[in-house]
Amino acid sequence: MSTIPEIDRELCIGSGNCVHLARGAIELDDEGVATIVDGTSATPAQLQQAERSCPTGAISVLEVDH
Amino acid sequence: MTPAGWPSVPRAVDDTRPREVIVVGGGTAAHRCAVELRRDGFDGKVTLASGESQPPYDRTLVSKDMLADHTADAVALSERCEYERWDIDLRLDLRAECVDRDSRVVGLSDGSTERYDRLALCVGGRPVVPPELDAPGVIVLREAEHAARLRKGMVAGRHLVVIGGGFIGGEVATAAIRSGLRVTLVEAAAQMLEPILGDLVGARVAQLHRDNGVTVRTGTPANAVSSKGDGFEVSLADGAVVDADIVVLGVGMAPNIDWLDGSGLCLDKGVVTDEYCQSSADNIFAAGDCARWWHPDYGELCRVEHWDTAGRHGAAAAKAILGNQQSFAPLPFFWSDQHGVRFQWAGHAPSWDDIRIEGDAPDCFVARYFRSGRLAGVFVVGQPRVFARARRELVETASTRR
Repeated sequence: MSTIPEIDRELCIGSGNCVHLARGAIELDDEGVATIVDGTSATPAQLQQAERSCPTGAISVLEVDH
Repeated sequence: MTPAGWPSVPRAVDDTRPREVIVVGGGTAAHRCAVELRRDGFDGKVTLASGESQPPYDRTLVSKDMLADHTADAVALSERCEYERWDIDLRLDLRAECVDRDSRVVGLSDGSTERYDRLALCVGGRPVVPPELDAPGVIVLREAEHAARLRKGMVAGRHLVVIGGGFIGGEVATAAIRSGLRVTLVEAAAQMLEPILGDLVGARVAQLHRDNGVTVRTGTPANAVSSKGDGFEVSLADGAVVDADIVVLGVGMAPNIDWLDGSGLCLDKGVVTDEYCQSSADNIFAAGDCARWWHPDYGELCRVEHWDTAGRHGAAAAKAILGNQQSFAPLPFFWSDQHGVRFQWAGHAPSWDDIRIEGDAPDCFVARYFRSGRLAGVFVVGQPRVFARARRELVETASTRR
Protein backbone atom coordinates (compact mmCIF):
# COMPACT_ATOMS: atom_id res chain seq x y z
CA MET A 1 0.00 0.00 0.00
CA SER A 2 1.43 3.40 -0.81
CA THR A 3 0.18 6.94 -0.54
CA ILE A 4 0.34 8.91 -3.74
CA PRO A 5 -0.29 12.65 -3.87
CA GLU A 6 -1.86 14.24 -6.93
CA ILE A 7 -2.17 17.91 -7.68
CA ASP A 8 -4.93 19.44 -9.76
CA ARG A 9 -3.11 22.24 -11.53
CA GLU A 10 -6.34 24.01 -12.44
CA LEU A 11 -7.38 24.36 -8.79
CA CYS A 12 -3.95 25.26 -7.37
CA ILE A 13 -3.43 28.93 -6.54
CA GLY A 14 0.12 28.53 -5.30
CA SER A 15 -0.65 29.12 -1.62
CA GLY A 16 2.32 27.00 -0.70
CA ASN A 17 1.07 25.44 2.55
CA CYS A 18 1.84 22.05 1.02
CA VAL A 19 5.48 22.93 0.39
CA HIS A 20 6.05 23.04 4.13
CA LEU A 21 3.57 20.41 5.27
CA ALA A 22 4.61 17.79 2.73
CA ARG A 23 8.26 18.05 3.78
CA GLY A 24 10.04 18.11 0.45
CA ALA A 25 7.49 16.15 -1.55
CA ILE A 26 5.99 19.25 -3.17
CA GLU A 27 7.45 22.47 -4.55
CA LEU A 28 5.98 25.39 -6.49
CA ASP A 29 7.13 25.41 -10.11
CA ASP A 30 8.09 28.46 -12.18
CA GLU A 31 4.42 29.29 -12.69
CA GLY A 32 3.80 29.15 -8.95
CA VAL A 33 1.81 25.92 -9.27
CA ALA A 34 2.41 23.05 -6.86
CA THR A 35 4.11 20.05 -8.34
CA ILE A 36 5.22 16.71 -6.90
CA VAL A 37 9.00 16.53 -6.77
CA ASP A 38 9.45 13.46 -4.59
CA GLY A 39 6.33 11.58 -3.55
CA THR A 40 8.31 9.41 -1.14
CA SER A 41 9.84 12.10 1.05
CA ALA A 42 6.70 12.76 3.09
CA THR A 43 4.81 10.31 5.26
CA PRO A 44 1.17 9.46 4.48
CA ALA A 45 0.10 11.53 7.49
CA GLN A 46 2.06 14.55 6.24
CA LEU A 47 0.55 14.20 2.78
CA GLN A 48 -2.92 14.00 4.30
CA GLN A 49 -2.20 17.17 6.26
CA ALA A 50 -1.15 18.88 3.05
CA GLU A 51 -4.37 17.69 1.42
CA ARG A 52 -6.44 18.99 4.33
CA SER A 53 -4.69 22.36 4.51
CA CYS A 54 -4.90 23.11 0.77
CA PRO A 55 -7.22 26.11 0.50
CA THR A 56 -8.58 25.12 -2.89
CA GLY A 57 -8.78 21.35 -2.62
CA ALA A 58 -6.12 20.93 -5.29
CA ILE A 59 -4.34 18.07 -3.52
CA SER A 60 -5.69 14.53 -3.50
CA VAL A 61 -3.98 11.78 -1.63
CA LEU A 62 -4.67 8.33 -3.00
CA GLU A 63 -4.08 5.05 -1.21
CA VAL A 64 -2.94 2.52 -3.75
CA ASP A 65 -2.60 -1.22 -3.32
CA HIS A 66 0.39 -2.73 -5.04
CA MET B 1 4.55 54.37 -4.36
CA THR B 2 4.36 55.49 -0.77
CA PRO B 3 1.28 55.92 1.39
CA ALA B 4 -0.11 59.40 1.91
CA GLY B 5 1.26 61.01 5.04
CA TRP B 6 4.51 59.09 4.72
CA PRO B 7 7.53 60.88 6.15
CA SER B 8 8.38 63.55 3.57
CA VAL B 9 12.07 63.25 4.30
CA PRO B 10 13.27 60.17 2.45
CA ARG B 11 14.18 57.39 4.79
CA ALA B 12 17.83 56.54 4.87
CA VAL B 13 17.46 53.07 3.47
CA ASP B 14 20.09 50.84 4.94
CA ASP B 15 22.05 49.20 2.16
CA THR B 16 24.36 47.23 4.39
CA ARG B 17 23.88 43.49 4.48
CA PRO B 18 21.91 42.47 7.56
CA ARG B 19 23.58 40.08 9.94
CA GLU B 20 20.73 39.58 12.39
CA VAL B 21 17.05 39.42 11.59
CA ILE B 22 14.38 39.13 14.24
CA VAL B 23 10.94 37.97 13.15
CA VAL B 24 8.22 38.61 15.71
CA GLY B 25 5.01 36.61 15.49
CA GLY B 26 3.68 33.08 15.58
CA GLY B 27 1.56 32.64 12.49
CA THR B 28 2.03 31.97 8.81
CA ALA B 29 3.55 35.37 7.98
CA ALA B 30 6.22 34.93 10.65
CA HIS B 31 6.88 31.33 9.65
CA ARG B 32 7.19 32.10 5.95
CA CYS B 33 9.37 35.14 6.60
CA ALA B 34 11.85 33.15 8.65
CA VAL B 35 11.92 30.17 6.30
CA GLU B 36 12.17 32.27 3.16
CA LEU B 37 15.16 34.13 4.58
CA ARG B 38 16.98 30.80 4.66
CA ARG B 39 15.59 29.52 1.35
CA ASP B 40 16.85 32.74 -0.25
CA GLY B 41 20.32 32.11 1.08
CA PHE B 42 20.54 34.35 4.15
CA ASP B 43 23.22 32.98 6.45
CA GLY B 44 23.09 35.51 9.30
CA LYS B 45 21.22 35.05 12.54
CA VAL B 46 17.47 34.48 12.32
CA THR B 47 15.31 34.58 15.44
CA LEU B 48 11.61 33.76 15.35
CA ALA B 49 9.94 34.96 18.54
CA SER B 50 6.36 33.77 19.03
CA GLY B 51 4.00 34.56 21.88
CA GLU B 52 2.41 31.10 21.62
CA SER B 53 3.62 27.97 23.36
CA GLN B 54 3.88 25.90 20.22
CA PRO B 55 5.57 26.51 16.88
CA PRO B 56 3.53 28.18 14.11
CA TYR B 57 0.62 26.02 13.01
CA ASP B 58 -2.27 26.13 10.54
CA ARG B 59 -4.53 28.61 12.29
CA THR B 60 -7.32 28.16 9.76
CA LEU B 61 -8.05 24.77 11.32
CA VAL B 62 -8.81 26.32 14.74
CA SER B 63 -12.38 26.97 13.62
CA LYS B 64 -12.64 23.90 11.39
CA ASP B 65 -11.08 20.47 12.06
CA MET B 66 -9.99 21.33 15.56
CA LEU B 67 -13.61 21.90 16.56
CA ALA B 68 -14.96 18.91 14.71
CA ASP B 69 -12.55 16.24 15.81
CA HIS B 70 -11.56 15.52 19.39
CA THR B 71 -8.27 14.05 18.25
CA ALA B 72 -7.25 16.91 15.95
CA ASP B 73 -4.07 18.56 17.16
CA ALA B 74 -2.61 21.72 15.72
CA VAL B 75 -0.93 21.09 12.36
CA ALA B 76 2.58 22.52 12.69
CA LEU B 77 3.70 24.40 9.60
CA SER B 78 7.23 23.07 10.15
CA GLU B 79 8.42 20.61 12.78
CA ARG B 80 10.78 21.84 15.49
CA CYS B 81 13.64 19.82 14.00
CA GLU B 82 13.31 21.79 10.81
CA TYR B 83 13.91 25.08 12.61
CA GLU B 84 17.10 23.47 13.93
CA ARG B 85 18.04 22.25 10.47
CA TRP B 86 17.61 25.78 9.10
CA ASP B 87 19.39 27.28 12.09
CA ILE B 88 16.35 29.42 12.95
CA ASP B 89 16.32 30.26 16.65
CA LEU B 90 12.69 29.46 17.50
CA ARG B 91 11.73 31.08 20.79
CA LEU B 92 8.26 30.47 22.16
CA ASP B 93 6.11 32.14 24.86
CA LEU B 94 7.86 35.36 23.99
CA ARG B 95 6.04 38.55 23.07
CA ALA B 96 7.62 41.75 21.79
CA GLU B 97 6.72 44.59 24.12
CA CYS B 98 8.57 47.61 22.75
CA VAL B 99 10.86 48.73 19.97
CA ASP B 100 13.66 51.28 20.12
CA ARG B 101 14.13 52.29 16.50
CA ASP B 102 17.26 54.33 17.08
CA SER B 103 19.16 51.65 18.96
CA ARG B 104 17.56 48.89 16.91
CA VAL B 105 16.54 46.95 19.95
CA VAL B 106 13.33 45.05 20.63
CA GLY B 107 12.20 44.48 24.22
CA LEU B 108 10.71 41.06 24.94
CA SER B 109 8.25 39.76 27.52
CA ASP B 110 10.90 37.84 29.48
CA GLY B 111 12.60 41.11 30.27
CA SER B 112 15.39 40.63 27.73
CA THR B 113 16.31 42.87 24.84
CA GLU B 114 17.56 41.78 21.44
CA ARG B 115 19.43 43.79 18.90
CA TYR B 116 18.41 43.53 15.26
CA ASP B 117 19.68 44.69 11.91
CA ARG B 118 16.24 44.04 10.47
CA LEU B 119 12.96 43.50 12.32
CA ALA B 120 9.91 41.84 10.78
CA LEU B 121 6.64 42.53 12.57
CA CYS B 122 4.25 39.64 11.91
CA VAL B 123 2.22 39.88 15.08
CA GLY B 124 -1.21 39.46 13.56
CA GLY B 125 -4.29 40.53 15.46
CA ARG B 126 -6.41 39.77 18.47
CA PRO B 127 -10.13 39.09 18.66
CA VAL B 128 -12.23 42.13 19.45
CA VAL B 129 -14.01 41.67 22.78
CA PRO B 130 -16.55 44.44 23.45
CA PRO B 131 -16.68 44.99 27.22
CA GLU B 132 -20.46 44.49 27.38
CA LEU B 133 -20.07 40.99 25.92
CA ASP B 134 -17.09 40.01 28.03
CA ALA B 135 -18.61 37.77 30.68
CA PRO B 136 -16.30 35.21 32.38
CA GLY B 137 -16.19 32.04 30.28
CA VAL B 138 -17.13 33.62 26.95
CA ILE B 139 -14.95 32.08 24.27
CA VAL B 140 -13.00 33.75 21.48
CA LEU B 141 -11.18 31.74 18.83
CA ARG B 142 -7.67 32.56 17.81
CA GLU B 143 -5.37 29.91 19.13
CA ALA B 144 -5.22 26.15 19.38
CA GLU B 145 -5.98 26.27 23.11
CA HIS B 146 -9.20 28.20 22.41
CA ALA B 147 -10.31 25.46 20.05
CA ALA B 148 -9.50 22.83 22.66
CA ARG B 149 -11.53 24.71 25.26
CA LEU B 150 -14.52 25.11 22.98
CA ARG B 151 -14.37 21.54 21.76
CA LYS B 152 -14.49 20.28 25.33
CA GLY B 153 -17.69 22.15 25.96
CA MET B 154 -19.41 21.08 22.75
CA VAL B 155 -21.59 18.34 24.22
CA ALA B 156 -24.63 17.23 22.23
CA GLY B 157 -27.83 18.84 23.41
CA ARG B 158 -26.23 21.97 24.80
CA HIS B 159 -27.18 25.38 23.46
CA LEU B 160 -24.38 27.34 21.84
CA VAL B 161 -24.85 30.99 20.96
CA VAL B 162 -22.34 32.47 18.57
CA ILE B 163 -22.27 36.25 18.35
CA GLY B 164 -21.13 37.39 14.94
CA GLY B 165 -22.21 36.13 11.54
CA GLY B 166 -18.85 36.31 9.84
CA PHE B 167 -16.59 33.45 8.89
CA ILE B 168 -15.68 32.49 12.42
CA GLY B 169 -19.31 32.54 13.44
CA GLY B 170 -20.33 30.46 10.45
CA GLU B 171 -17.66 27.85 11.05
CA VAL B 172 -18.38 27.60 14.77
CA ALA B 173 -22.07 27.17 14.00
CA THR B 174 -21.15 24.43 11.51
CA ALA B 175 -19.02 22.50 13.99
CA ALA B 176 -21.55 22.84 16.78
CA ILE B 177 -24.46 21.58 14.66
CA ARG B 178 -22.32 18.62 13.57
CA SER B 179 -21.68 17.82 17.21
CA GLY B 180 -25.38 17.76 17.97
CA LEU B 181 -25.70 21.07 19.79
CA ARG B 182 -28.55 23.53 19.46
CA VAL B 183 -27.11 26.62 17.78
CA THR B 184 -28.20 30.23 17.65
CA LEU B 185 -26.19 32.68 15.59
CA VAL B 186 -26.65 36.39 16.23
CA GLU B 187 -25.66 38.99 13.66
CA ALA B 188 -25.98 42.76 14.07
CA ALA B 189 -26.22 43.52 10.35
CA ALA B 190 -29.27 42.81 8.23
CA GLN B 191 -27.71 39.62 6.93
CA MET B 192 -24.76 37.34 7.70
CA LEU B 193 -21.62 38.58 5.93
CA GLU B 194 -23.53 41.64 4.72
CA PRO B 195 -20.72 44.15 5.33
CA ILE B 196 -18.36 42.07 3.19
CA LEU B 197 -20.63 40.45 0.61
CA GLY B 198 -23.88 42.40 0.62
CA ASP B 199 -27.37 41.37 1.66
CA LEU B 200 -28.27 39.19 -1.33
CA VAL B 201 -25.33 36.86 -0.80
CA GLY B 202 -25.65 37.22 2.95
CA ALA B 203 -29.26 36.03 2.78
CA ARG B 204 -28.18 32.87 0.97
CA VAL B 205 -25.51 32.15 3.54
CA ALA B 206 -28.06 32.62 6.29
CA GLN B 207 -30.40 30.24 4.44
CA LEU B 208 -27.67 27.64 4.21
CA HIS B 209 -27.31 27.83 7.98
CA ARG B 210 -31.06 27.64 8.56
CA ASP B 211 -31.29 24.65 6.21
CA ASN B 212 -28.77 22.97 8.49
CA GLY B 213 -30.65 23.68 11.69
CA VAL B 214 -29.02 26.88 12.92
CA THR B 215 -31.32 29.53 14.37
CA VAL B 216 -30.07 32.68 12.65
CA ARG B 217 -31.07 36.01 14.16
CA THR B 218 -30.02 38.94 12.04
CA GLY B 219 -30.52 42.67 12.32
CA THR B 220 -29.98 42.56 16.04
CA PRO B 221 -26.71 43.11 17.83
CA ALA B 222 -26.06 41.45 21.16
CA ASN B 223 -26.15 44.17 23.80
CA ALA B 224 -24.89 42.24 26.76
CA VAL B 225 -23.74 38.83 27.94
CA SER B 226 -23.95 37.94 31.61
CA SER B 227 -23.28 34.81 33.60
CA LYS B 228 -26.32 32.85 34.69
CA GLY B 229 -25.81 29.73 36.73
CA ASP B 230 -23.50 27.47 34.77
CA GLY B 231 -24.27 29.30 31.56
CA PHE B 232 -25.05 32.70 30.16
CA GLU B 233 -27.82 35.10 29.32
CA VAL B 234 -27.43 36.94 26.03
CA SER B 235 -29.48 40.11 25.68
CA LEU B 236 -30.26 41.21 22.15
CA ALA B 237 -31.09 44.69 20.92
CA ASP B 238 -34.52 43.53 19.73
CA GLY B 239 -35.41 42.80 23.32
CA ALA B 240 -34.97 39.05 23.23
CA VAL B 241 -33.03 37.33 25.98
CA VAL B 242 -31.42 34.05 25.04
CA ASP B 243 -30.10 31.49 27.49
CA ALA B 244 -26.90 29.75 26.44
CA ASP B 245 -24.62 27.02 27.75
CA ILE B 246 -21.76 28.30 25.63
CA VAL B 247 -21.15 31.73 24.14
CA VAL B 248 -18.61 32.28 21.37
CA LEU B 249 -17.66 35.74 20.17
CA GLY B 250 -16.72 36.21 16.54
CA VAL B 251 -17.11 39.93 16.08
CA GLY B 252 -13.88 40.77 14.35
CA MET B 253 -10.25 41.32 15.12
CA ALA B 254 -7.94 44.26 15.60
CA PRO B 255 -4.26 44.37 14.64
CA ASN B 256 -1.83 43.77 17.53
CA ILE B 257 -0.23 47.19 17.37
CA ASP B 258 -1.03 48.77 20.74
CA TRP B 259 2.43 47.89 21.98
CA LEU B 260 3.91 50.00 19.16
CA ASP B 261 2.35 53.24 20.41
CA GLY B 262 5.21 55.57 21.13
CA SER B 263 7.63 53.65 18.91
CA GLY B 264 7.45 56.40 16.29
CA LEU B 265 6.29 53.97 13.62
CA CYS B 266 3.53 55.15 11.31
CA LEU B 267 0.45 53.28 12.58
CA ASP B 268 -3.02 53.63 11.05
CA LYS B 269 -5.31 50.65 11.59
CA GLY B 270 -2.17 48.56 11.23
CA VAL B 271 1.56 48.97 10.73
CA VAL B 272 1.67 51.10 7.59
CA THR B 273 4.14 49.95 4.95
CA ASP B 274 4.94 50.73 1.35
CA GLU B 275 4.48 48.13 -1.39
CA TYR B 276 7.78 46.53 -0.37
CA CYS B 277 6.68 45.73 3.18
CA GLN B 278 8.89 48.46 4.62
CA SER B 279 7.49 50.49 7.50
CA SER B 280 8.10 54.18 8.07
CA ALA B 281 11.27 53.19 9.92
CA ASP B 282 14.11 51.83 7.90
CA ASN B 283 15.01 48.30 8.95
CA ILE B 284 11.51 47.53 10.24
CA PHE B 285 9.17 45.53 8.01
CA ALA B 286 5.66 44.27 8.55
CA ALA B 287 3.60 41.46 7.06
CA GLY B 288 0.37 39.59 7.67
CA ASP B 289 -2.76 40.64 9.54
CA CYS B 290 -0.99 43.48 11.41
CA ALA B 291 0.27 45.17 8.26
CA ARG B 292 -1.50 47.83 6.21
CA TRP B 293 0.44 48.03 3.00
CA TRP B 294 0.27 50.12 -0.15
CA HIS B 295 -1.21 47.85 -2.79
CA PRO B 296 -0.01 49.07 -6.20
CA ASP B 297 -2.92 47.53 -8.14
CA TYR B 298 -5.61 49.14 -6.01
CA GLY B 299 -3.87 52.42 -5.29
CA GLU B 300 -4.73 52.33 -1.61
CA LEU B 301 -3.63 50.98 1.72
CA CYS B 302 -4.92 47.46 2.36
CA ARG B 303 -5.07 45.30 5.44
CA VAL B 304 -6.60 41.87 5.07
CA GLU B 305 -7.12 38.98 7.44
CA HIS B 306 -6.49 36.19 4.98
CA TRP B 307 -4.30 33.17 5.61
CA ASP B 308 -3.11 32.86 2.02
CA THR B 309 -2.19 36.55 1.76
CA ALA B 310 -0.36 36.47 5.10
CA GLY B 311 1.92 33.62 4.04
CA ARG B 312 2.80 35.36 0.77
CA HIS B 313 3.29 38.57 2.71
CA GLY B 314 5.83 37.00 5.06
CA ALA B 315 7.79 35.68 2.08
CA ALA B 316 7.69 39.12 0.44
CA ALA B 317 9.01 40.73 3.62
CA ALA B 318 11.89 38.24 3.66
CA LYS B 319 12.83 39.20 0.11
CA ALA B 320 12.66 42.90 0.94
CA ILE B 321 14.85 42.34 3.99
CA LEU B 322 17.48 40.74 1.76
CA GLY B 323 17.35 43.60 -0.72
CA ASN B 324 15.43 41.57 -3.36
CA GLN B 325 12.28 43.57 -2.90
CA GLN B 326 9.36 42.99 -5.20
CA SER B 327 6.12 44.87 -5.20
CA PHE B 328 3.64 42.99 -3.02
CA ALA B 329 0.50 42.89 -5.11
CA PRO B 330 -1.36 39.70 -4.28
CA LEU B 331 -4.88 38.97 -5.39
CA PRO B 332 -6.64 38.69 -2.03
CA PHE B 333 -8.10 35.24 -1.50
CA PHE B 334 -9.84 33.53 1.35
CA TRP B 335 -11.98 30.50 1.86
CA SER B 336 -14.34 29.05 4.45
CA ASP B 337 -15.96 25.66 4.95
CA GLN B 338 -19.50 25.80 6.24
CA HIS B 339 -21.94 22.87 6.46
CA GLY B 340 -19.85 20.86 4.02
CA VAL B 341 -19.79 23.65 1.43
CA ARG B 342 -16.64 25.52 0.40
CA PHE B 343 -16.89 29.29 0.11
CA GLN B 344 -14.13 30.98 -1.88
CA TRP B 345 -13.43 34.65 -2.45
CA ALA B 346 -10.91 36.34 -4.70
CA GLY B 347 -10.41 40.02 -5.41
CA HIS B 348 -10.66 43.43 -3.80
CA ALA B 349 -14.10 44.95 -3.43
CA PRO B 350 -14.49 47.06 -0.29
CA SER B 351 -17.42 48.58 -2.16
CA TRP B 352 -19.20 47.72 -5.38
CA ASP B 353 -21.61 49.18 -7.92
CA ASP B 354 -23.16 45.94 -9.09
CA ILE B 355 -23.43 42.28 -8.07
CA ARG B 356 -24.43 39.55 -10.49
CA ILE B 357 -25.40 36.16 -9.10
CA GLU B 358 -25.67 32.91 -11.02
CA GLY B 359 -27.31 29.90 -9.46
CA ASP B 360 -30.29 29.74 -7.13
CA ALA B 361 -29.25 27.30 -4.44
CA PRO B 362 -27.76 28.58 -1.17
CA ASP B 363 -25.06 25.90 -1.41
CA CYS B 364 -24.14 26.41 -5.07
CA PHE B 365 -23.82 29.83 -6.68
CA VAL B 366 -21.42 32.44 -8.05
CA ALA B 367 -21.54 36.13 -7.19
CA ARG B 368 -19.49 38.63 -9.22
CA TYR B 369 -18.79 42.07 -7.82
CA PHE B 370 -18.23 45.02 -10.19
CA ARG B 371 -16.67 48.42 -9.58
CA SER B 372 -16.88 51.01 -12.34
CA GLY B 373 -17.95 48.31 -14.75
CA ARG B 374 -14.95 46.08 -14.06
CA LEU B 375 -14.93 42.74 -12.30
CA ALA B 376 -13.46 43.41 -8.86
CA GLY B 377 -14.26 40.26 -6.89
CA VAL B 378 -15.88 36.86 -7.03
CA PHE B 379 -17.52 34.82 -4.32
CA VAL B 380 -18.14 31.21 -5.25
CA VAL B 381 -20.02 28.68 -3.20
CA GLY B 382 -19.73 24.95 -3.77
CA GLN B 383 -17.87 25.04 -7.10
CA PRO B 384 -14.07 24.99 -6.77
CA ARG B 385 -13.43 24.63 -10.49
CA VAL B 386 -15.70 27.57 -11.36
CA PHE B 387 -13.84 29.55 -8.70
CA ALA B 388 -10.50 28.65 -10.26
CA ARG B 389 -11.63 30.04 -13.61
CA ALA B 390 -13.16 33.18 -12.09
CA ARG B 391 -10.02 33.81 -10.12
CA ARG B 392 -7.91 33.58 -13.29
CA GLU B 393 -10.26 36.11 -14.90
CA LEU B 394 -9.49 38.47 -12.02
CA VAL B 395 -5.75 37.92 -12.30
CA GLU B 396 -5.94 38.90 -15.96
CA THR B 397 -8.05 41.97 -15.10
CA ALA B 398 -5.51 43.03 -12.46
CA SER B 399 -2.55 42.64 -14.78
CA THR B 400 -4.16 44.79 -17.48
CA ARG B 401 -4.54 47.54 -14.93
CA ARG B 402 -0.78 47.81 -14.37
